[in-house]
Amino acid sequence: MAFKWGTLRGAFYEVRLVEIVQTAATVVVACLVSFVLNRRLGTGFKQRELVISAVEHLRALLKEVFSNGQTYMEDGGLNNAQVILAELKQTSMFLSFLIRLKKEVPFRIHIGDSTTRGYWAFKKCLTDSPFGESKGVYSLQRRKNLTTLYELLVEELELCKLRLYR
Amino acid sequence: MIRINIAEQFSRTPGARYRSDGPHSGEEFREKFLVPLFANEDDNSKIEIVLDGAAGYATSFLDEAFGGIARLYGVKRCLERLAFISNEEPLLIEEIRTYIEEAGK
Repeated sequence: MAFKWGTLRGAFYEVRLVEIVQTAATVVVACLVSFVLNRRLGTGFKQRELVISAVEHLRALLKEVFSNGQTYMEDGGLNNAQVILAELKQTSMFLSFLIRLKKEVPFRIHIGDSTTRGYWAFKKCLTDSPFGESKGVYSLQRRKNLTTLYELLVEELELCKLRLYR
Repeated sequence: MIRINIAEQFSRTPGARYRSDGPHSGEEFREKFLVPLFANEDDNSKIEIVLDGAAGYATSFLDEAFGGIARLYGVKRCLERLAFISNEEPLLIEEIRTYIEEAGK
């Protein structure tokens, strides 16, 4: 018998109760799994977003120190020096906070010893002698070093942000 | 145990490296507070340094005060006697330790 296109066979409508229950159960399970996965992934993404904003805040603090540091290396001044020290304290406090945060989230934050060492090197380059001296003059090499160390820190923070989504 | 609170007993705004650089230098702190405590070789009591409350510490101050005392009396003795407290800036403690250890190199 030739198949007639456009006409459904009578058997098509003969769905048994068991099949209806099975289909309904499958749909319910699929919905539940989807809900749980969405919720978990959603929380993970939100936590990652929070960490990223914290890393960006640290980067902004470093940028402020770097900018004021360059001005200080040019012009000096006791008040400028005090501002830099206060900003460095804030930066160090925030870096400590990020390191502590590593223990609170279920994923890896790539901030640690190398970031801390990089921060110390940056701080040392700026606030070791002649910092605070009334007639202190920074060498050109020292100024270049400050830029290099700042760039390395920024690069590390950017990589940390990227690695959060791996 | 002896306790020294830098912000309360010395200055809220510690300065640079040497006395000639201005007030509240690392050299001044070392000579005024640390040297008298280290001068007696038989005294092994702990010296607790509270770092909280100050506006911030320059590397030059930290190196001259703590690295300086290590250069005078030895790294081992300094690490044994000095204990640091910093609730505000925990990384500062590790930073100071590096200056003390570097003083022995």
